[in-house]
Amino acid sequence: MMITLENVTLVYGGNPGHQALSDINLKIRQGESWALIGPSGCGKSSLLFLMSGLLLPTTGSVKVFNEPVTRPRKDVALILQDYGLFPWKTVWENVALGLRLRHYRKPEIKKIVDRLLKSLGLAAFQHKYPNQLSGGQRQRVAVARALAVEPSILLMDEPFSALDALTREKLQHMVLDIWKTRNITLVFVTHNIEEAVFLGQKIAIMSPQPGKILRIINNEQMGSLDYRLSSQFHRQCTKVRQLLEGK
Amino acid sequence: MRRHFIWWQYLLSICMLFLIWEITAKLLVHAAFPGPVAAVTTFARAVRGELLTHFIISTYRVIASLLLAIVAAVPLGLLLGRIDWLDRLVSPMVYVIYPVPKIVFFPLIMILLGIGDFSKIFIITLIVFFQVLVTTRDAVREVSAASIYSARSLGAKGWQIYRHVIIPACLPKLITALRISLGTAIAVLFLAETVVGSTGLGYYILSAMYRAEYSEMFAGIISMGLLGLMLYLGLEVVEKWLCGWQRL
Ligand SMILES: Nc1ncnc2c1ncn2[C@@H]1O[C@H](COP(=O)(O)OP(=O)(O)OP(=O)(O)O)[C@@H](O)[C@H]1O
Ligand SMILES: [Mg+2]
Repeated sequence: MMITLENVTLVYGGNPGHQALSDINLKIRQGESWALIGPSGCGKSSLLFLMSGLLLPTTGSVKVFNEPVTRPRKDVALILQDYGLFPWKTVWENVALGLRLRHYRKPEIKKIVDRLLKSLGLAAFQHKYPNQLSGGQRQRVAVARALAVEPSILLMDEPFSALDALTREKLQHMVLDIWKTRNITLVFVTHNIEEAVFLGQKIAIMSPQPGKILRIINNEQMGSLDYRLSSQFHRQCTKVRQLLEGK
Repeated sequence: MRRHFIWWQYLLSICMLFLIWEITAKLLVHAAFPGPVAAVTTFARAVRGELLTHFIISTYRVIASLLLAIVAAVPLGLLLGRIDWLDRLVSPMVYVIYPVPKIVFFPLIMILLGIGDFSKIFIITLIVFFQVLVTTRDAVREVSAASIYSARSLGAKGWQIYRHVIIPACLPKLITALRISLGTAIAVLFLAETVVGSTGLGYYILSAMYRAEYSEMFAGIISMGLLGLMLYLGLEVVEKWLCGWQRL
């Protein structure tokens, strides 16, 4: 089992404190792709933070590769809601940072970063700063930075929410491709029903106050670019929508 | 978009300044207020003599004070901004001392540290120290939680978080604080140099006044202005070098 959450609750500090998550149980297998969807404030980001080791659960356990998560792990990469790029570093430096922190040698860093930037179509922007890029380009830089350290698990928090429809679709295709070719376990948060159904092999529907997992939908037919056009895709979207609307 | 250094704009401003000066001198007609031509002529002559020595001494005192203040205040500010218990311990003390005009301690400092360079450097350092300390600590607190999370998820710990996130995020504010402190530093320098000693631009200006050498006094004032301008431009260069990303 890649990621296991057992009876997890999360209460944010303060008195009396705010219960963000309640009784979460999840089993995510190696190589799966999971979509987390739910209304704003239901604890989706908090759930990713728990999986990435940035937060610890108040009760219950979070395990990756059957080891309790106590701090950020080397094999888990997280892309934050607003990409989390550093405006004071160039594209190249942003992508190289994870490798630098892991004390890779310079020539090796250069090899990895150059290859990655090229494959994501970012080579021309390598000396630019994040402020000089479009939203879609920034998102690709964030993906490149996460992939540079070759994670086994990629966590993404609303990766495409700030993008226009076409850019969004292109990047969804890119992520689908990455997921299929790299044998990565993918967990992403989204507000967008089509996105959840297009990219999520499993779709966890969450409900708020406190955040709970309402239902998990199997969506095994996903994985091809023309899935979007199939009637199955539309049936799944309708199902997710009805569950989100509480029907 | 922020201003770039464009030399002709500076030249134009200086010409304007001289024009206003000339007009004021003409209207005032007072021996103690010579026009810019007389002042600049005297400056050009005096700077080849002892004025240069005084200028260098004053420059050394300001730069030494600023560096000392940075070395002492920045690390402490970086710690206070991140470590709550330390901040709760130290900050009340800072708040009590911060609004007290530190210059009132100058007599005491002279008694303790003597009347040489060191007491002058110390008083300037003391004043700039608090400004830099408070700015640094507040800047650290304002660093977004997201960027720290982002660095931690990439594997950054301890010093690496400072190195890659906190310090670069705080630098622009730190440089702004230094720019503001620069004015205070030079004012305090002037005061300290006029109180005691026979070196520095403050002494030069005051002694020229006592001797009723008013063009010489103004040559000293011009030197003070140049000192400020020089340090200001120096900061500008440092800012461009370290915070270039901000201006994009
Ligand atoms: N640091 C914090 N301290 C206290 N409460 C918090 C903190 N972070 C989040 N919360 C609260 O916990 C709940 C879950 O937050 P979270 O950010 O996980 O929601 P989300 O589902 O990601 O929302 P969105 O879709 O708007 O991003 C919210 O009610 C939020 O107000
Ligand atoms: Mg969120």
